[in-house]
Amino acid sequence: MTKKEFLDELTKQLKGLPQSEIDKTITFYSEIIEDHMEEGATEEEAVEALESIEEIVKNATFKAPLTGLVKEKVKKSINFTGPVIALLILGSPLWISLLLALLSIVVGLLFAVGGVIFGLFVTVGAILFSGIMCVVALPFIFAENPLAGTFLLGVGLIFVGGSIFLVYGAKFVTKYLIKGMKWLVIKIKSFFVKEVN
Amino acid sequence: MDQQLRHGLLEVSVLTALYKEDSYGYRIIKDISPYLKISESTLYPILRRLETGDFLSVYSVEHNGRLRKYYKITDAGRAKIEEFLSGWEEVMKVYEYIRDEVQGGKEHD
Repeated sequence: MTKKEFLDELTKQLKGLPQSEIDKTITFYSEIIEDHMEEGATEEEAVEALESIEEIVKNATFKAPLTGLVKEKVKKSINFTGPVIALLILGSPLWISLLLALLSIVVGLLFAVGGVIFGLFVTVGAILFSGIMCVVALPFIFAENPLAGTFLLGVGLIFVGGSIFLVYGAKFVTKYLIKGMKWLVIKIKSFFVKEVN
Repeated sequence: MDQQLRHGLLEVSVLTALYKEDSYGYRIIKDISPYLKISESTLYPILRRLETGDFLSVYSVEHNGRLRKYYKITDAGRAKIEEFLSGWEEVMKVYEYIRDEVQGGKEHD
């Protein structure tokens, strides 16, 4: 790929970011390629040494604030002429409520994931607590009824042991839930940056 | 390495690459690379953030018939390096303690 091809493709993929941001990014990569060439690399080699365009776009998008991306998308796709503004005002009961609904879905999703994570750890904590309580209560129960006491000891140990394993399970699930949320954020943002095919 | 730690180290490393003299993107990557893996798409947002936070300033110089952006460290940037160095003195003490204990333990075995 030549330098021009690379920069053209990058410009295309970064569409959606503010124009000043695109210009700065392109200047940055153009300089890196030229400096590398000055050291003796061929144009192809200098472009090859860079990361993939996908990786660059992903990093640029993840770092950019979502509000800016939305603003840019709206600015680029709508011309605010008189009739458009009138339509926006007339349609405000519709689009404002749609926007609020969308926002509440996102917020709801965040709370749901947070709730699941919280619930997981509370459950594990409760099992551990029950296990410990079984063992604590053991001497009293044992004195009353040795059979019940033995049973309680077994249950207590299973609960304590099980909860230790469950902590790892909960940590594992949490890790993937958080990864999933990050992925979702990137997807939502890339909706504003990449042209929808 | 922990992501957050890596990120903090990268910021200070970029400032350090500018400590003695002003530098440009390609050279910053070359200077830091032997110590920390850094790609262009990692460096770029760091430079932007350091610029926004007034830890460095940017100017252009004509070079071989084209413009090249140079980055210059500010007083706040230098203060950030100093802060890093004094903060890490404590960390290094703990590191030495851990290392000596572990090595001493191994010699006993």
